[in-house]
Amino acid sequence: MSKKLSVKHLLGIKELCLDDIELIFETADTFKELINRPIKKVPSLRDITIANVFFENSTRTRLSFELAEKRLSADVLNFSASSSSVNKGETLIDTVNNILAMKVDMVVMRHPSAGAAKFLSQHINASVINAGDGTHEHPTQALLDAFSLREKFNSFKDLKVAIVGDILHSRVALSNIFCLQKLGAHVMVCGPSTLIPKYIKELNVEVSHNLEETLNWCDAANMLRIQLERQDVQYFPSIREYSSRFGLTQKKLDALKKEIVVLHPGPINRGVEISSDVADGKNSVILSQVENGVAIRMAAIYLLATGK
Amino acid sequence: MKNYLIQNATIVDEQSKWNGKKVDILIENNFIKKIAENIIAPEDYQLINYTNLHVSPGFIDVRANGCEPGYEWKETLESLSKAAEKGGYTTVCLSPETNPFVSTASQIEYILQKAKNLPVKFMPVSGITKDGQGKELTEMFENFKAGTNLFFDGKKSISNSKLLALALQYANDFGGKIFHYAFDKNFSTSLTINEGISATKSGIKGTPAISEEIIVARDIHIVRHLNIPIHFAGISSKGSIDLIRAAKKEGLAITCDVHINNLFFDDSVIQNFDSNYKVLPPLREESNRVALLNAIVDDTIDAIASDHSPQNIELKKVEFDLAEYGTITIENTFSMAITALEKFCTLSKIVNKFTIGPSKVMGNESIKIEEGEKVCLTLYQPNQEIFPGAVPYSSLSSNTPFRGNIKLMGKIYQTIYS
Repeated sequence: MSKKLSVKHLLGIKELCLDDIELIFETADTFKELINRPIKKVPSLRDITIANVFFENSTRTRLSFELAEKRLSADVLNFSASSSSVNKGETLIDTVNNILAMKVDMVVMRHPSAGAAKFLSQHINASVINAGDGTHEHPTQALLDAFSLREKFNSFKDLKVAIVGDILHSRVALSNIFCLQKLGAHVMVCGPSTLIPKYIKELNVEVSHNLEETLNWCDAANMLRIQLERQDVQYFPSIREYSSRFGLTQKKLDALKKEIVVLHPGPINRGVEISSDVADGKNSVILSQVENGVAIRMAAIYLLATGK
Repeated sequence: MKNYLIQNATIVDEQSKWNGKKVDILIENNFIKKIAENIIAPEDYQLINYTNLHVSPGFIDVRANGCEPGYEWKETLESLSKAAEKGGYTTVCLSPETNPFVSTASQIEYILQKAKNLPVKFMPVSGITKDGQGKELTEMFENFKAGTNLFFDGKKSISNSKLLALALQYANDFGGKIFHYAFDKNFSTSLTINEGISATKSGIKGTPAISEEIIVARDIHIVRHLNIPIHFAGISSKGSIDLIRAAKKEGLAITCDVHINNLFFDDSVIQNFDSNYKVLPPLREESNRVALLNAIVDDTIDAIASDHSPQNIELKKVEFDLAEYGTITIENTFSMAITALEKFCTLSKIVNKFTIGPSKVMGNESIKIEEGEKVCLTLYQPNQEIFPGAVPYSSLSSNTPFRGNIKLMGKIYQTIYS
């Protein structure tokens, strides 16, 4: 593979061009095939050491990155801190530079502050992959979501994708909007007005506050989790009421005169934004997303590590 | 003080009969002795003769952070005086946001004592409420007697309407001036960035401009009710400007100032997460910035403030939401104003916002360039390009986006102040 990404870091979808996204997909196709073989590992990144630096709790994203790194034969270093670096008295740059001094080549970072990955990339000499920065971006999640849609639909041209739920506190929503639009899809966001940024229409997305209307419009619905931990005040009266307005149930799917694909970035709150029968049902690609996550992350890591 | 002869200077002072004239100015024993064309220099007088020299009354800053006492590593009154002089200022009002917050007469006296031999006149400002907590009034009259007629709670808005009304009434008895920062913090989170498309693209929740406008509207009602003046500190939105313009037209005694950063930048710059664009009030959309520029033109805004806010690098070179607010501005405020306003208004209008306007806001008579007046002058060249930051700043801090890479118009030569 001789093609290269146009970027040195994977900070957000905002910074990627369409060629970058397609290159990541093509590379991920190869890796997905690989991880389904009996021998799931390649020696591609044998000389590379990658630090997974997580300043915020994460299970699936961290595991997915770690597995992707191990499948590529990279050496892996895990660092987690529940509190921010400043609370510990050490700055983010110092923390990461200390890790880099141990001859680490790449940093995968999750951080509660929007812009933290970009900030880090400007101050250290290593590639940075953003594994989620506050409510800003989560580029690998958007890539794996789009990759999963690509397996279900022939083309993104005129594909209609709805993102439902807590748009205001979601980094997945913003990255998905940027990614899907670059691929040529149309995006609608759906949720109570209180959870939708006032200016989001300026990103050329449709806005709806009615789940049934949204489901009728879309070919695929990405159901987001309510981020109660990020809500500074009460944005809606109760989980019960939220669930009845915006929770996706089999009954609501059955009322449609068509089949739609259901995605969820996880972790899912069964019975809140998605009912169990939908999560486990035939429309759901939730577990494919998890599988694709490893392939996409392998592709991103591989392309950044070999593209210098 | 030496005696001077300033040669070939264009006077920019709306209150002077010499406004717009190119003359010589003879300064003797701290007073303007003579203004005329082609004055013959007496012996031993220092000649001042710069290219395209313009002279205005000494500039006045209605808001800067001296950081002393409590934050001397960010700035001291001495370092601020040097920075202010470079910026063309002869008078600077100090924000009470030191540590401790300025609440008592002894603190006012301390600042005056510290500042007495410095080349800039520093005006201490007292808190309206103790420690800026918005609960108990400071001993305003004691603080007035100690040397300030200005009261300000810093960037802490007084949410209790009755308390603000009482402060206005009480201070008005002895000519005290209340400066108020209009901000309903309930609209904000821990990070205050303008709600708009730039915040949305950056994944930041954003604080809407109505967080300011709602308090401006409330305060206008209080002013109408009491018939007592108020000054709004750091207005940033078109909505506030519209309210203030209408209130002024109605005849209410309202003045306001704008921070230079809000006149110069719009909020699109925050998308790079550079904490040197993180200021209070937050930078807003271009439409708001244009409304502020137009409000200079029609005198809705009375003064341009530097809001000079030094921060040490450890407080700035961190994640965007953890970084402190503010930038150092005092050395470049006038040049930023010329650059932002050159297509909007005349130079004398800009100068007004650094001289006559601030004097009015502070309740003082403004200094004029006339024979017999005490000398207090700023000498500059409005058309010269400068690249601030190309040489080190006099401020002890360096938190600014101007690092030698942004061109501004207008170079300060010096101040002459007795």
